[in-house]
Amino acid sequence: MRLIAKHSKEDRIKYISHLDMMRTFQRAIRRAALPVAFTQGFSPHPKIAFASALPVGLTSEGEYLDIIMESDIEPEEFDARLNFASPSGIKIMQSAKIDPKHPSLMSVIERASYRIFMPVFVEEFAERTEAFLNQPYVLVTKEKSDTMQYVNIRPLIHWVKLNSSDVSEQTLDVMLNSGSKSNLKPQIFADALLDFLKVDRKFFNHKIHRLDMFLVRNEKLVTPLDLVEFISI
Amino acid sequence: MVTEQFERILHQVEKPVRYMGNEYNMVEKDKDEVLIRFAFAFPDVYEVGMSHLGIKILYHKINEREDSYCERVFSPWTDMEQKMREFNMPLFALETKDPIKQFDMVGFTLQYEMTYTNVINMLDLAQIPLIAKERSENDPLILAGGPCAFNPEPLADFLDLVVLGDGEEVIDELLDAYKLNKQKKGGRDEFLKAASRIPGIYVPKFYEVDYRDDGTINSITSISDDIPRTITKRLVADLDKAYYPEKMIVPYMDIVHDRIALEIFRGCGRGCRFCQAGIVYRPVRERSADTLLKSARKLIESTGYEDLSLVSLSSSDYSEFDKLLPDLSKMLKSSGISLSLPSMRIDSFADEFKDDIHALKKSGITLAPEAGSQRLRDVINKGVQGQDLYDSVKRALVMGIDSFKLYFMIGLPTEEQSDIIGIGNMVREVKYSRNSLDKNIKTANPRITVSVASFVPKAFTPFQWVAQDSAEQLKAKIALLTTGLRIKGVFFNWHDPSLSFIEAVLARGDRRLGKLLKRAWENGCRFDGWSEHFKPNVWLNSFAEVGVDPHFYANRTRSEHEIFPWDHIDVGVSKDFLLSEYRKALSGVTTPDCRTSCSACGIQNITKGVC
Repeated sequence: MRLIAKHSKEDRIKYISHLDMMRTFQRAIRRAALPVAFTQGFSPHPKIAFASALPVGLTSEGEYLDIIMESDIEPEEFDARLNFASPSGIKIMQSAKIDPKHPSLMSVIERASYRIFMPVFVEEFAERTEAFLNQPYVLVTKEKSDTMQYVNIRPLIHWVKLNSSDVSEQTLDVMLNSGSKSNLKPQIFADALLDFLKVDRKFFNHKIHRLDMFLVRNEKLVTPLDLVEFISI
Repeated sequence: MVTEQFERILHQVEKPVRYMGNEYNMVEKDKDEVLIRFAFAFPDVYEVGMSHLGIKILYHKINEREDSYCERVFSPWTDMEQKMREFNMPLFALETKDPIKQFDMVGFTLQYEMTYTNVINMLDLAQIPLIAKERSENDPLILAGGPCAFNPEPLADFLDLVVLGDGEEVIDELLDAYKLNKQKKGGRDEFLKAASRIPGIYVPKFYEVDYRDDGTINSITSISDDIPRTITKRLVADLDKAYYPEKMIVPYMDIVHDRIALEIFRGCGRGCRFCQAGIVYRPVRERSADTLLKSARKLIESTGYEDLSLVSLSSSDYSEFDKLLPDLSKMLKSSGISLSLPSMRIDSFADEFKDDIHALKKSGITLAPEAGSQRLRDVINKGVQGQDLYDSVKRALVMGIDSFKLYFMIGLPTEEQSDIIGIGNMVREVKYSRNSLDKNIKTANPRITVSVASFVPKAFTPFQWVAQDSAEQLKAKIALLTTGLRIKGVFFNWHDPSLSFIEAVLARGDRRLGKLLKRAWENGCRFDGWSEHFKPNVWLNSFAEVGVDPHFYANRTRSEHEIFPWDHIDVGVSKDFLLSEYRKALSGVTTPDCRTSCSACGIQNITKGVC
């Protein structure tokens, strides 16, 4: 049996690295005594994989875990038991059964959406953000061995949506390429935007929150949990 | 309290998880509901401090009390220190992120002399006055405990009080006294007076030290008659009934010992003459196999850890090993947990455990013959024969273990060139030991790492009278070893003798070293135990600047009548016993393990005749 579980990574634990997050889940699974399948060998580990690595320092409400179970368990029970054994800051929101033969989530994720919190109040935020997007090219530098390369990230940005824009908090949501085929880190997008808006980046805490991740199914963007509807088990 | 500024800083430092807290099993309390806020301070970085057993025990023990909240604080790494100073951010505890200067007590554990500059640095970062006498009613009380606290004199200027011996035995009495004093609206000095009457509590400022012209001590006296003349360590008499946590904090990041720690016994009866822990933690006290199995079960369930290790000074000496190991390994196997056994003694490495010790195939075996000749091993009372070592290696090779770490010391009392050459010979014997095995038994070519430390004479050991070799002598011995250990498949590393020199100064230091420590810290010394941060020349300059001769402390042979800076502290083992051991050492006479035959070390004066 295979499950996918959507979970959060909240503010108080956002500095945990990808590897540490993996170990954290392995230990939570042991504490919860869930019937997860273990690898063979000298030091057995639960068979779990993340759909995508979340950069250190980011929070999220749209992470996914891909889990191979040893025996059947109802998703609701899985959620309850894992939540009980998880550190504060990680919450399992929903899990669902998925066809064990479906390719790994990691290999099919194509996009992710993020919320970016502006560090200072930006005048004419909407107009200037539109101007940013209307550029034919958005060039960022990328270090490759010894040389610096310019990369156009504009095609990797799908849409930007401005949220409330009062003085206390300005945020925007953005959909970016994500996954093994093409990936744009949200920090790189945010840095490029802030440079364009002439906001001093030294005040920027990289306060970025992942909203969800997506893959393409029948030419439509769907979340991993939507997959369950497409695949009969 | 987490601020925007804190967030900004964490984005700019290496491994921000060190400062994040919120681990699984971290204790959360309403800080306004408690009377006593206690910060357990470890003067090294998070991943070292979180590996320490004492913090695991005391943290949960103090937090069992409804009136107290124990939080943790570690030494910020140098990048974090720089940011904290840049933003004028005071040192904070991980649980609430509140500045520790607001706490009632800050308790440092002193595991190693080379963390002393970190103690000072942490006080400074916390914005707490460094010198105990300069602290006011609003400042926290600064405590210290742990093995190095048995000679706390170099830090005497900085500490308000010192806990001698097993912390879990005395902490409740100390906190009760503090609570009572607080309720009576008593001041700092009233509390310290009350605390000094609790057995095992030492308040340095209530003692005066008088020196002779030659720099040695003339007398140590308490300042008034109601202050005890000597302070006797506390100990848990029945370890089997003692508190042991059912939960342990599970860090997110990879720490040094990232596993369940199960303390099987405390103390050691072997009486190796260089070993301070072997003296100050006497007598041997065990936890029963039944108690340990119960603890293991609870800790497996509450932590989710994938490894468990047995902790003690010499695990294979545990008397109920035969009872513990089969049941424990069954329990671990069914939960998919592996077992690590540190401090495996070579002479008790037994075949019957081989099925239970899979982990050794991966990690290899650590063997500590300590000296290169039988004569010198007898001097240090390391009750191990060379042949035992070779036999254990052969057994291990047959079991499929091919990686060995060998620990030696140089600069031991009475050491001669032949003893140094003997180290090379022993290593060669180990390397080629499979040649004498049956050719039909398949064994791998052993990989050997030889680690050589310079001997550091410590307080409360039979070698507290001896002079440490000079750094030049030690370097010459290392050069000799380098030639002797040029063997294919043998990797040789050694500890920096200039570090061992400073360690030796502090290990037998007195109160006059307070100004030296402060100066070394002012000159930038911190994390001295980390080779990338240790600055030998800065230390030497600091000695010169404050007019302290380090050789007086490190390289001087003491007379048998000398009063030591720690003579007002009683660890149970008598100075007479240590002296007789010193004399026996010089004539190469060994002393049996005290569990075989009692040598009347004096500890029974504390234990009232029971060991």
